[in-house]
Amino acid sequence: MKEIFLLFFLHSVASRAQEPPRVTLERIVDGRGNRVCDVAKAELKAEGVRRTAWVVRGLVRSDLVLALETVGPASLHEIGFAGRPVLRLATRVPGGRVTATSPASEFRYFDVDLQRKTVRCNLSRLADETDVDLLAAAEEYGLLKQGLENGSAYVPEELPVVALLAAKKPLPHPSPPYRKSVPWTEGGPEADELAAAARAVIAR
Amino acid sequence: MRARGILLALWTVSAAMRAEAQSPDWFDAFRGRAFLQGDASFVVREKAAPPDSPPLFRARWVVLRYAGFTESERRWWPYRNLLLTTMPSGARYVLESSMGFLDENRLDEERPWQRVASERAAFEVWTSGTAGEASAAATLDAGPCEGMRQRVRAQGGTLTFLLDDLGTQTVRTALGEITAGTFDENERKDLVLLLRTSVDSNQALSTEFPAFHLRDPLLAVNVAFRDQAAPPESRTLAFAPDPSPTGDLASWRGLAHLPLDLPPFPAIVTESPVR
Repeated sequence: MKEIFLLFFLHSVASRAQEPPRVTLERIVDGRGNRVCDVAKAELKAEGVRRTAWVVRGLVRSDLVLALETVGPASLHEIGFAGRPVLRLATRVPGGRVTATSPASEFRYFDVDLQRKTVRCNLSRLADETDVDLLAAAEEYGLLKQGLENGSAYVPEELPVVALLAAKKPLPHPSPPYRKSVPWTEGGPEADELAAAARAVIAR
Repeated sequence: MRARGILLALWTVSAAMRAEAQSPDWFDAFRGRAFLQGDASFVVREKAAPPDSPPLFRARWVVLRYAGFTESERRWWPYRNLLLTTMPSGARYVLESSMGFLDENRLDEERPWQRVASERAAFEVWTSGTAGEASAAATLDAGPCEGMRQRVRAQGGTLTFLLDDLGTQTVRTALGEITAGTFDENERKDLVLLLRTSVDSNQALSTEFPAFHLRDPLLAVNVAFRDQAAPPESRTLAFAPDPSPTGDLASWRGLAHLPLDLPPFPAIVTESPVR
């Protein structure tokens, strides 16, 4: 499994020297138009490597970071809070065996078994080993997705959230609070700071 | 610089001691005076093989009881149901299905369940939690690790799993990697042969609970080598009484962790419901 991380590391070194990442900003608002949270999505493509970093600010106390790096069919996902340890999910091929790694231990599973208690139990343990607030943050994110008026299905960047939601299996919310995603184009320094945070994740 | 080296050495030793301390000792769960409740010797051959053909292996079935509770609770004393197998090559293995000392207030703590040991390695399955039935509402609220779960501890790795998931690709693959890292090629070949023993034998020590079946210790290899578990039609090896049993258990004392003194387990007298 170490080779897959080495592969990502070597490609990352090569891609860092490329042009700056493209960043898009979104604001999630409630039914009255009040801000719920902001999301910066940074993307960088270079030499067969695609790196994305999402920074979600305001949903929970700390910035929630979702990062994805793909090299050919292999992908490396990360979920965590800014400046804190991350939980990694790596696969060689889509639908293949997933290696989940916390700072303390590792567990490997097949996606087809994600709903089984063995996988859920081990994933929740790894999440807790990474950060005790991680499962709760994934649950908040899932609730946000449920209530999004113009929300879409989960995209690859959100795979760690899907995995942690499967692990925690929260009770379905009877009426998730209404949320709407709007473009955030006139952000000023606040937006610049969030965009910089997303760029910083990509440059790691 | 030298002080830093000493501190590093101390930290390394302390980390190793902590890791050791976190791994429970299987045999700690079997305390108190030990008794021998059952002892029988077998040879194992293909069902179709002539009775005078050389056995594929020999097996000695031994059930030990430990005085873990009061005399009145003797029926529930901890037990070790052991299958001591010897291959024609001389390689020996201990298969074990056991229940150690149980503290009802600490059911979430791990306790011994199944074990496969060779002369140089061991694959242990521990169990924790309870399998109690829960209401539908409680099941919805229950965490993913609630209920009874198993933990494999072996040189080749560790794994926490639920028995219901034993057939999943995730568990089978992980168990395969752990056994590959625990037993060498010859040991794996020997142990996989045990998977072909017929489990249709209902041979047991008792008709009352706990019955102690001959097939129980074989469950250990069926967990360890789940990926190679044989379908019922290919389980063509059968147990037959050994015409020349060895008698003494002394040669197994080290490998099977047998106590020096093993007096017979006194028969349990069933109380009459009418007094």
